[in-house]
Amino acid sequence: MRNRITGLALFAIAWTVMLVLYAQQYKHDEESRYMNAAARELATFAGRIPYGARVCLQTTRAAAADLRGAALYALPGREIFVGAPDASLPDDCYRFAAGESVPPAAPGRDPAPALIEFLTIGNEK
Amino acid sequence: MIYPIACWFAFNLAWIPLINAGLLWLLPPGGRALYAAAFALLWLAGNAGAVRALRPVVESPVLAGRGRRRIALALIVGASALVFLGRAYVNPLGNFDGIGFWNAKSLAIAESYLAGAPFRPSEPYWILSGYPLALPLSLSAIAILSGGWSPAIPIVFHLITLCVCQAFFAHWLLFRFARRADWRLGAASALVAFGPVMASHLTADFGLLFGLLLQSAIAVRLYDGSAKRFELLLAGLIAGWMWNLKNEGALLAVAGLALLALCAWRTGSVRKLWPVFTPLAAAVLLWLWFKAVAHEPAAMPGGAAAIFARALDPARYLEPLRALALFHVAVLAGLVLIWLFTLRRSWRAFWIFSPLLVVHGIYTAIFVVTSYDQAWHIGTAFARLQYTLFPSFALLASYVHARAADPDLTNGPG
Repeated sequence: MRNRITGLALFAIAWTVMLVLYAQQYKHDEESRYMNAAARELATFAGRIPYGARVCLQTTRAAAADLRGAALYALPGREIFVGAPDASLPDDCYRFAAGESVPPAAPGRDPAPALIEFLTIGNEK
Repeated sequence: MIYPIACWFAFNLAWIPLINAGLLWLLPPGGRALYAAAFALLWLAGNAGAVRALRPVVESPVLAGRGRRRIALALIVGASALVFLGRAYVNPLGNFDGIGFWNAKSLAIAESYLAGAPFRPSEPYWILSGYPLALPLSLSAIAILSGGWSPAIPIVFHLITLCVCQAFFAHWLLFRFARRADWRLGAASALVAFGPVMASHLTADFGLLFGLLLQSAIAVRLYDGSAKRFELLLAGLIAGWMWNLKNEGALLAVAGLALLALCAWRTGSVRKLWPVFTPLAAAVLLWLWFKAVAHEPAAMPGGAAAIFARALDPARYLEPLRALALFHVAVLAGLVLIWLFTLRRSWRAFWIFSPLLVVHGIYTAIFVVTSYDQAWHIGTAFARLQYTLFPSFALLASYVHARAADPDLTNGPG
């Protein structure tokens, strides 16, 4: 009987520990969804941006590192700059604007709104 | 057969990045056919030796109740795979670490080689450019052989690693040393709660978990006198691979080696450890070379004086205690239960947990002295660091439990 009680108690402890760890990680799922969406959309521009070119990403998202990580994956070999819209970024850039969060898909709207918007190449549109 | 399969898989986790590193340095970039031929030759040679060396590894006899336990094992592995694939469907590129540096580096290395550019082990614009390259070298090898990068590569790689690891861990808990130990079924089933979540991030953490788990299993077999020479060679190879997997891999590799050393010392078999050192020494030299050439910013800005000042600030101890209170209470309760009812109030067997407890203490100390925001650092790092330790802890606890019930228990013939 004692063995069975000990067994049940340790079962409960193992699951408690696992669920505590899972709850900690769950908070970061939004960050993962944002980066996956940003990387997917940025990758569609890869063929138009030569290796070694500068890419500037403007965003009001507080966690700008998320966008930088997505760009490093989607646009390898390019020089990545991330900053607020009013920040000083290099002029000779392929310039993009990125939303703060993944826009929700509106019912009946196809396709879903884009997270990334292409702005200019350097000073030219 | 699960343990030998896990050993063979772990051998390849270490062998493939070594092959790729050598070929990237020695071969002219861009020659995929030559690369594929050289890779196949080296891979086959290494695996022929590994398979031959694994033959003497003998499994323990499977004990009574095998039907239900096999069903439980299949359910655990199947459920883990389903949870992983569900999360991979939502976020196919992984989490921040998975996208921003592991997959980004793997892609960059592969596409660089295929485009004819020379291999550069570190780029200044990479996130965490000083992190070692064992995982990116594995994934980029697959990409080069496939002719180009695909998001499916890390998904398949991590899915296979997850299934092998879950099968090995669940098999150990459910089949080995079987007594009436229902809690082990519960601990094994708890793997489904977090293991596939962690693996779906597509980072190197699950590799560290698997490496430490295998080292713990080899240590237990050494303690029982069942470990073969190849298993100890593999322990050294895995430790070296972990050392080159992440910065904290070195700490976990040392913990695994400390556990091996403790088991060897307590059984008077320290001389059996000599096969560990050759692959480990080679891997550490490789790591030292990489650290010399990598572009790496300071891990803790401000230097030793700033770290010391933070360590002396009592307020910095409150956040780890507050944030991790439930976790620590649960683990403490588990240890007390084991001590009370399994070890019959004896501390003698607790030495086996000491390397993992030291690692936990070091992790907690890092959260005290970190230069990052404490709440952020704990929130982003604690869960995966602790889950890396949990399976090894559970494996050792199951062994302690079984030996307490049957002191003459061994790991099997041989």
